[in-house]
Amino acid sequence: MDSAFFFYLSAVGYFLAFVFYLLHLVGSPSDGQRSGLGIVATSQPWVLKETTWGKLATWTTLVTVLISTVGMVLRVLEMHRVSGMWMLPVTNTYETLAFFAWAIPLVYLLFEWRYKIKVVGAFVTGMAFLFIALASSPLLSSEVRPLVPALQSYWLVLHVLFTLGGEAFFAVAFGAGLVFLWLQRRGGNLQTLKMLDNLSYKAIALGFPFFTLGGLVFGAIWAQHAWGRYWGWDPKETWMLITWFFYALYLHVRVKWGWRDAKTAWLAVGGFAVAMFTWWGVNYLLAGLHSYAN
Amino acid sequence: MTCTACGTFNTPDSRFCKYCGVALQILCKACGTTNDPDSRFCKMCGVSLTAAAPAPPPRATELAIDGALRGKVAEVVKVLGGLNCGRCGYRTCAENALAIVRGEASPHSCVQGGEEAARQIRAILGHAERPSFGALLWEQLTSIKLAIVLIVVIVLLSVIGTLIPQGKDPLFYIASYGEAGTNIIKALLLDQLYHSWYFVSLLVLLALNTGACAIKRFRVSWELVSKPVESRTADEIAQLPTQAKLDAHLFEKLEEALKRWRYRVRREGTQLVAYKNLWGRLGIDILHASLIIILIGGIVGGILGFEDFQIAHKGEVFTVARGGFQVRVDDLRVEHYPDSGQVKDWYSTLTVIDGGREVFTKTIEVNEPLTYKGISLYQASFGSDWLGGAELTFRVERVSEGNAEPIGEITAKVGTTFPLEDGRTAKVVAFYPDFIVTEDRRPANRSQALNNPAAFIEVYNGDQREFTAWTFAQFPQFQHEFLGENPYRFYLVGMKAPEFTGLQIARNPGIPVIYAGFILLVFGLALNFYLPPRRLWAAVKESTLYVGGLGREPREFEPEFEEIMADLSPCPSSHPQSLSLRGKRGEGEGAGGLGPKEEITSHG
Repeated sequence: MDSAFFFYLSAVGYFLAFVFYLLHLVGSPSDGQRSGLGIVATSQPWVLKETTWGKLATWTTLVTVLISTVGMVLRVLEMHRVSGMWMLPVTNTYETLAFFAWAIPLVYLLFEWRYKIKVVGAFVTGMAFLFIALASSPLLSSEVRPLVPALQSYWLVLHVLFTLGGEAFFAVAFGAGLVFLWLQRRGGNLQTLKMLDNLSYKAIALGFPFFTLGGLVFGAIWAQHAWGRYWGWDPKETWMLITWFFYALYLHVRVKWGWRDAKTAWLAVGGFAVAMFTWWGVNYLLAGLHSYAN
Repeated sequence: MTCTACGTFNTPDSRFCKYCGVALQILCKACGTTNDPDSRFCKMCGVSLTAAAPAPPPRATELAIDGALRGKVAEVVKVLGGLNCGRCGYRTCAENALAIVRGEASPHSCVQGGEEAARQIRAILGHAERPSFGALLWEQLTSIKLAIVLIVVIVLLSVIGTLIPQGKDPLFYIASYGEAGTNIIKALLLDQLYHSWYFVSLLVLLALNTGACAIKRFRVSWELVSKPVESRTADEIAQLPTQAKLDAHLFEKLEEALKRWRYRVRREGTQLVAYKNLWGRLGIDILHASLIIILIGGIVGGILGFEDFQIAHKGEVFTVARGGFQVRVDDLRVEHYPDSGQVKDWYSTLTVIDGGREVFTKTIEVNEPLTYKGISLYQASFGSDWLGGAELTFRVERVSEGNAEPIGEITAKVGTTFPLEDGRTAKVVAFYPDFIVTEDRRPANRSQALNNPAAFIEVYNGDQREFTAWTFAQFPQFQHEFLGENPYRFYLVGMKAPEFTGLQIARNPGIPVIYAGFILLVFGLALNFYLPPRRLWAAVKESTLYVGGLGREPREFEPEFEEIMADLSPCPSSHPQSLSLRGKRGEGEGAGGLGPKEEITSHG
């Protein structure tokens, strides 16, 4: 049983959690105040009445995250066996996908525990499933391959860890933004919408420092250490800056104009799309020093 | 009176600025000296400062507005926009409009509307005077709106720079975009976009704007963090954008709840002051200052630093001109992974020689540079110098009567001649690591990599050139299919070339500045987002407990405030609105705390 097996198992787990969250959403009983999602509680109307499906969904997600963690630990050991180096599993596309699929539900669980909001759960586990399914698909090899010279550095670990960690928060904000837009379209409860907007904002606010540290700071320090220049305006670096500006814009328009509705939801959605382009689009669609695909 | 910290116009009896909350100075009417807000007598001339405190201004909905003013108020409300954001200090745009028309608030009071709104409002009020051009310019330069516009433009330009490859040979652009396209690219500097004057100007402008906003903001920040938080009366609390009215008996419960929420609580009779993370306010100031520091570091590095690339072979000594020292390459080494044969790392052993004396020796590898006198040498690449003296191995066959017979293998350097048989000699004229034929039928290299190795040989009989042969390592059949008549066949079976190391030599004196900026940036971000400041006041008046507070900005504090209120009344009533929130809702149209409700519906 190697790491690939556990990652594959986690794909199954996330899919189950996804189904359970969906069942929780449609199956929640309402109590007088019906508003599209059967929302109940008075001072916190975004909290759906707890159902068996809901409990099952949360537990399944938690267990799957643990399975994922086992996979990650095994991967560390496998990498050491192949190359003699101790590295966290963030060295290639397969590993970073698996890492992301682990980080997003973990961050989401923290928000669920704090804000008791489960409407975003289906979306988050669905996303995690897609990422780990992509990794486990025939498109990517799960083989542990030793690192090219440029990647042999603990700056790599710091850079990827904090960047993806920050983006896991952005992913939750992305989910909240999408649910906001969908709910608004079908006329959902206003306090739920307000809560979703808050959730998006909180997620971005908490993730932004991580993302800055990982993407810009550690990325620049690593580039300086490896290539002798901390900033070269190559496509990867430039798009990272664009993503950073995008989220900075999100924060500034809230301050300046008090935007708190569909406009900011779209920005939360758009920002994540830009972040994903920085991760994928640059490698496979644009060329440069950073592009390991070429 | 005008707040000295943020410039907002406040009514004369206000003790605190409506917008930034700073305690206002009292101006002595006799001698003009500024006094602390709680002074009763002027410290300079002794005149009594406090007249009998007038009643606080009645709220808009309690007033009868006379007909002439009513129309003006309606027009001003339209200009203000109806967002009810609360940043002018009034709960609703209607209240602010009324105050403006009555002369109690300034036309500039609307943060949302800014200069544009102020101009329109002045027109409605019939004011003649206009602010100076300098004031207008300053207003625009120090606005967040400019920052937003600049960021959007910089982002768009940056995207273009990633779609058009930067810094390439003109031939590359002609090949990719054609002659016309290349002319446009060159004219607009799109091949050097990030170093173009317009792009750099935008960055500088953004830096200036950030600096100006930071200075403006820091004046308020300093007032807020350096002075103790003063208590407020019930009427002052009622004016806050985030506030509620509760039953007076909840006072103790509130104090306990606030302590549970980790507030520092100070009780003064029937008044209460609670706060936490006051220093968190400086987070934004620090992080914006850090951005400017980073930019300065970048400029310093750009001006005073340099970047060079050096290729060197084993045993070679090269000079680093800018440092006045030399470097000798003692050894070059490639290490491979045992199983896969894949490259594991490149190593160069370098010795630094300064003034004829060997200073030190270090073996560098990728991610592990050498530094001397502030100049660093990075292991950037590695390769074989195929064009600088390759050594080729041929398997030679003699052809007689249609039969080919191998006569041995020979290794020779490019440019040398080796003997064949019977007085014949063969000269290895040229070697092409990546052979192609150009449009005008000439041999050339597509790249420097060993993609299609080819050699050109001339065979001489005495002094006479007898025949020539091309031979391709990947296409041995070329020898017997196309050159079958030649008396000798040459198969290219091996090639070696001296290895070289590719070193990036660079110095960037801006690095320490930039790293300092990075630290401050992350520190500022963490401070701002993880430790947001909170100030909360409570006061009992008659049988009502007035509670209100300010966070990073009025709206950001709302969710926490509502949770604290919910904490006080845990039992939900059958009515969908809980007891604690009723106070806010009872205030009438769009109380600041629930303004977004109206936004959400109107923008649906």
